[in-house]
Amino acid sequence: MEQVLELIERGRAGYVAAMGMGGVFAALVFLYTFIFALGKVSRFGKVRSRSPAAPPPGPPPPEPDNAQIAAAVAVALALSGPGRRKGVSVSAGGEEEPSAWKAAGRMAMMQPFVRPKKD
Amino acid sequence: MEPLLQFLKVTAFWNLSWGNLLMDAIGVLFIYLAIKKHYEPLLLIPIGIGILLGNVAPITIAGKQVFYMLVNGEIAEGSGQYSVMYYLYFGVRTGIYPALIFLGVGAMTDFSFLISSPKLVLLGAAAQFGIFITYTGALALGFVPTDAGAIGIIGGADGPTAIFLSSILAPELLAPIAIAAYSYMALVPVIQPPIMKLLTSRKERLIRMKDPRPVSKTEKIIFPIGGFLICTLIAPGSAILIGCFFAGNILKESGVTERLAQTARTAFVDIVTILVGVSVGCSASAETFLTSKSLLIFGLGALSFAFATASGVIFAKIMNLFSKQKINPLIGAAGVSAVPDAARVAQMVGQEEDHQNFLLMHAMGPNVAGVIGSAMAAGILWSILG
Repeated sequence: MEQVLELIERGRAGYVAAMGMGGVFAALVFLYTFIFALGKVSRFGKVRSRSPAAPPPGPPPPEPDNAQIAAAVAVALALSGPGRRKGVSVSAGGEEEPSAWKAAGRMAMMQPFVRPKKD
Repeated sequence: MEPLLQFLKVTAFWNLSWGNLLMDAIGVLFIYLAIKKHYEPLLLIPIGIGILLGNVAPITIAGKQVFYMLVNGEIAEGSGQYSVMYYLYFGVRTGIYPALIFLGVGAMTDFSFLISSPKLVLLGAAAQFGIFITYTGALALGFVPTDAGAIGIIGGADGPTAIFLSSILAPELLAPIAIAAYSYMALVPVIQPPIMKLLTSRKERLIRMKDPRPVSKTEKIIFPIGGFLICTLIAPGSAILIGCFFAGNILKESGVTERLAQTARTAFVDIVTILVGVSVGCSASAETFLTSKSLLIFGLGALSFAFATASGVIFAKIMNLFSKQKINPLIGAAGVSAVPDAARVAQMVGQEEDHQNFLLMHAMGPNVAGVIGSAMAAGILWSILG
């Protein structure tokens, strides 16, 4: 038994195990922190891009001209059912959840046309 | 009679020993297990063929040995003694093949599972405990520290890592270590389930884990770069393996080098696997393999695997004590690397209790973390013992 313990001692088993496991854990704990931070940053970026207050990426969209407005309204009316004429639906077929800034953009296109009618 | 005797002397039968025949039987067993039982056929068939080649007695043509690599029990070094296999073995001896295999494996690996559940990375670290337990066990059995370090790495359940480290620390033990590592990797579905069941209750095996979140392309590109820097700054010895692993992954995830990634994960890694399997098998000649040391290495390898599996499962249970989101401890066993077999075993054992419980995607996290962990452990052992 003493001989075995001496062999283990000579091979610095405790030191090697402590350094080895310590090194592996240290690296993977750093990796964990890195992935965690990466995830947070990524989710924060996604939330910002979905926020209606945030401008869409790229240059600001050009002001819609009358022809575009007419086309948008025609499409919206065509898509809405007969019972839904009062509240014109702006959701396009097949798209379940339009992003907030897209919906805001569509509403903005609708407004100049709807207002004169109300007046 | 004299011409017949002369003819017999030029055949391989004349110098064939019982040891060679026994090794041939082992080679045939490997091929049988691969074909009949589907145990890691991509590895066991080339290794089995290599064992058969390596145990044909010396065949000399034009002064050069064709297959046999050993002259008087040592690898042939003298002029005119080099064999074809000697040149192929160069990639093993210098650690080239393991690095190239890591490049291919990196191009196959999807880190999404790990990125979506970062805490699972710790299971890949815990499962490396078996390496250091085996290191201590090997010292107690009289192995010198360098040999003990090379034997311990079998617990990493990663063939290329085992070849890489033993080619540096214990080249004379490379054949038994590599064959033990690949054999136990093939036997993961046999070795792990009893240990996993022994260490977990039914209630724990029934734990269902939350679905992983979707991971963005940017995260997948940034991860291998950051991961490489973190790992190699802590253990520079792991730079070769980890570097190739993450390099392969960047080829895959960058989206602009699809042709390179496709080649790396298919033809490239297949060619290297054939070369490494055949040349490692070929180095397992009777003179080097049939020794008491080899038997001890196989015994220690089994111990290493068992401890690695157990430490992963136990660490998952410890994590559950402090975590709100419970982890199914079965996935801790996947931390031993052996991609993707260890993850499949976690899925299989989990589904024995609940057919609707899908653990595979969760187990892939610790599984790929185990690959990183074992390469790190190899780098650290190299730095300390090399």
